[in-house]
Amino acid sequence: MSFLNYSTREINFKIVYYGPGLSGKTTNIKTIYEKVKTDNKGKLVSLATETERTLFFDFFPLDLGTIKGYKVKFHLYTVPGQIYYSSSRKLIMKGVDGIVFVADSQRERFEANIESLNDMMDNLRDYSIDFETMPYVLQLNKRDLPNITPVNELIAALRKRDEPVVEAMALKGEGVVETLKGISKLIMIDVKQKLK
Amino acid sequence: MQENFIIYNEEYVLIKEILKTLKANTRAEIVFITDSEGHCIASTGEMEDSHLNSISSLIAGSMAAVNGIGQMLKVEKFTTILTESTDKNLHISLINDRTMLIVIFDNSSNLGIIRFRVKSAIQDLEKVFITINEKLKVSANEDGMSPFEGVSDEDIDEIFGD
Repeated sequence: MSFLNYSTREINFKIVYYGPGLSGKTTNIKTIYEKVKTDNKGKLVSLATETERTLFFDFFPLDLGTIKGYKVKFHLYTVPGQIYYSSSRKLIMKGVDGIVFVADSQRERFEANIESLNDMMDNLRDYSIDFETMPYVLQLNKRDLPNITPVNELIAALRKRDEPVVEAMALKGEGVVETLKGISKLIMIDVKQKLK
Repeated sequence: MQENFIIYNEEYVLIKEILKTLKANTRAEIVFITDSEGHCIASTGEMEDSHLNSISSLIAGSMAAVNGIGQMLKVEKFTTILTESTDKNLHISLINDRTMLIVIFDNSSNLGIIRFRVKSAIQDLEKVFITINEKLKVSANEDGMSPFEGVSDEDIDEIFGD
């Protein structure tokens, strides 16, 4: 969970981008990385295969500035989406403060979304994390592609509670920052309540 | 589920002191502590914060992966990872279930000394982390004030430039 240092007045959070293979998790992170000013970001680490499929995770630290005298930092991670990297996904979920589920809107990936969502739920249960109170955003990605499932059908299948839903075209940069803002705000509201 | 990890000023000073001593005694380049979630907790030596954050995340991932292998090999826990090169070397040791101590050193140092001094530093660090855990059980924050006490939704919007 979050790491708070009273001495250096820093608070760190961990955000994980979850979703099926090739849904656009890495694209989300890379787009954010490109949009953020150099002073506010660390190095982008990408543990990928030769074909640029995520092998373990992508990561970069994002400095969001100061709030009430505390430096707020977000550590952004992706999980590898392919089914057989289940163990890696579970490791990365450890200590997560907020989750973005990146769904692939293409019709042929409908089942893969559901499978990945169920996998995410299993991992949360294994860590005894209560999904109902976890800051969470559902992103419907690839809205610019042909042959996509209508938004209402995706929401009916994938929306688990009252989480915000963001339509995105991550390759074009649309919806990416909105998603990050959404999850960051939810995390900060959550920690504000927890640390009361 | 793990609770939020909070470090208080008094213990942070103690941790920094232990790290400085270890660095001096081993002639290491950098000595730092990261938690199992990849947050860099404290460091001494020259390196940009952003790099340390990235390295911390990778080290936490490496340790988690190695212990994932350990579970399959029915090893209770791997406590140390040593990575050597012709130039720089990396010595990672578990302090407890949640934190690990990392020493980056070059060939002007000596692995035997590193192992000996790390062992001693871990004993000191264990005591500090026990104190931190005891404090966490008593109070969620040092002075009764949450760092986000009084933070409004507008304050949160502001850091996003909304």
